[in-house]
Amino acid sequence: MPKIHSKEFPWFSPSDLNRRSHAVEAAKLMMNAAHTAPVTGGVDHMEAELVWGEEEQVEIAEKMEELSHRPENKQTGELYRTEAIMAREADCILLLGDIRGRNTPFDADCGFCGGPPGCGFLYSRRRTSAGQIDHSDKSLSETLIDGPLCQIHVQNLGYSAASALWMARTLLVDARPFMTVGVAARKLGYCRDSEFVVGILVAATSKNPFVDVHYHYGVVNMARMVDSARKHYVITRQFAPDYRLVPASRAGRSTKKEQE
Amino acid sequence: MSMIEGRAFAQERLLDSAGHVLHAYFKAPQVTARLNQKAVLVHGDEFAPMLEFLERLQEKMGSEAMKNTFFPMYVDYMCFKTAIEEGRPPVVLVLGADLGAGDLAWDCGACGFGRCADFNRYKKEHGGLGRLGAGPSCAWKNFDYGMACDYACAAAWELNVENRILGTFGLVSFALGYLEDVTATLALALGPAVELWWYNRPSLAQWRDQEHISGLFRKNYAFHHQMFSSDLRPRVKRDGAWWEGAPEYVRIEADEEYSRYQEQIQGMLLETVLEVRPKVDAMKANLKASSEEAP
Repeated sequence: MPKIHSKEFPWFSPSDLNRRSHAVEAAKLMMNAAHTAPVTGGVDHMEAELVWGEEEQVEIAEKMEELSHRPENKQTGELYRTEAIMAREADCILLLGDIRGRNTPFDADCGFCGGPPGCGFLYSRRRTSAGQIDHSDKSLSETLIDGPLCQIHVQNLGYSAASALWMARTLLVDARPFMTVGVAARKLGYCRDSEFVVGILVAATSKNPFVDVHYHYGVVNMARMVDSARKHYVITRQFAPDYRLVPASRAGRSTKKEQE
Repeated sequence: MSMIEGRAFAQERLLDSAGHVLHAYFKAPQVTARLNQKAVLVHGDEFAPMLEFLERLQEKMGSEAMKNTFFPMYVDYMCFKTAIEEGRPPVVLVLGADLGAGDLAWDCGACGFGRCADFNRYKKEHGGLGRLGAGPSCAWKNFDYGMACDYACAAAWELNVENRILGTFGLVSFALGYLEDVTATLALALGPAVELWWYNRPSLAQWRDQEHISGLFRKNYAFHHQMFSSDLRPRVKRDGAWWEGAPEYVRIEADEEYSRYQEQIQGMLLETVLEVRPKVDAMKANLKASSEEAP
């Protein structure tokens, strides 16, 4: 009879990969929940991409670490580095992107992007022709996200992400949304139809990897601790003499002193 | 032993569900950890100014104009009005937040500015009102606000309480100032305990017939109804034996009269806000006084 064995450690062992694959199944349901979220006018507005595997997650984490050097604000840099560890520790990464905010605004003149004069704030900051935003114009992109974006669509992505998170909550898997993960994944080409992407880290482990973390988490975390233990222990263990020459006290024999 | 009529009890307990929904709203996950959600629960007499606002506007504009110009608003108004007339008024949660505080220092650029400081400067010098709320908005705070509102909707859904989140009455509550210091508001209607009240919208059938709805589609999607595309002005088909009737054509033109009408409407809106808003201000003053009196 076939069996499925699940265990958290050692990482990426067959049993751990089983456990991770279950988290991936949960993330697929989260993806569906995101699509069914209530959004303005019921207009289809998002794409989703699910990423898992050591290589793929490390690639995103390394991009986050690379981006951490960009912001002038040091706290923001720390944010990227801390959350990069979480991206490594997650079982999978669900990416949700807003496919309309940059190029096909809602055109409701709502005022959320710039106040008066409504959509003019957005259109005047893009190359347009025939009343359409030219999606190929990247000349204005000097920032991590090429704004301004239609804020109605941005808000709608919030609805989608929250529905995905609600599904995670229902399935009792840990999940948390991150700006940094989304930005890095977008730079790597995930959710390529979207300018505004959020990364939801998903995990089914005994300790939620996305909360209760401390300062300097980029360098003081479980993986680094385990690595340190491996590094230091292997040195210390060499201080011992030949294991075959077991001391009498440990072998159950009386020692010389006792014999005397 | 007592007996309680079920439907009336369900109606009465809408307030319980509103409490659970508000918990979900305030405890929703955030990316920024900086969104300060606000909410006020509105029901009974406190809801009256919202309907009064639309009724006064209708008096000024005329019934047909109101139905056509503010179509989604009028649809939602009718849902509220019908529910109230049937003795099962919805409870309304006005959900809002200030999205205009650029205090993250992420400098991500999603708002269109290279730095949060530039965003704040623009807001100070040029920010203001659009048709639904105020801008500019921090994109990530707006995203978080969307998450909070979605959690509110999801909580209502999980409780199987009939609900719909409304931009229309969010706008009305924003204009009347139900919440202080917010740039965006949405109204989440809870109840009545009727299947698909806010989706099938039975009240809509009272004033929208098939011809009216078909006309709306022809006007908004003329390309779907048009004949051969290479004609300078394609003819537009209609329901029935359209080929026997007088031909109709697609036309795009400047319409000064309609533009003037739009401006008049803006004036009427502002005028009506000024008429009704003092009532909401008085209610808020009472709420403040009673909360200060409370031990």
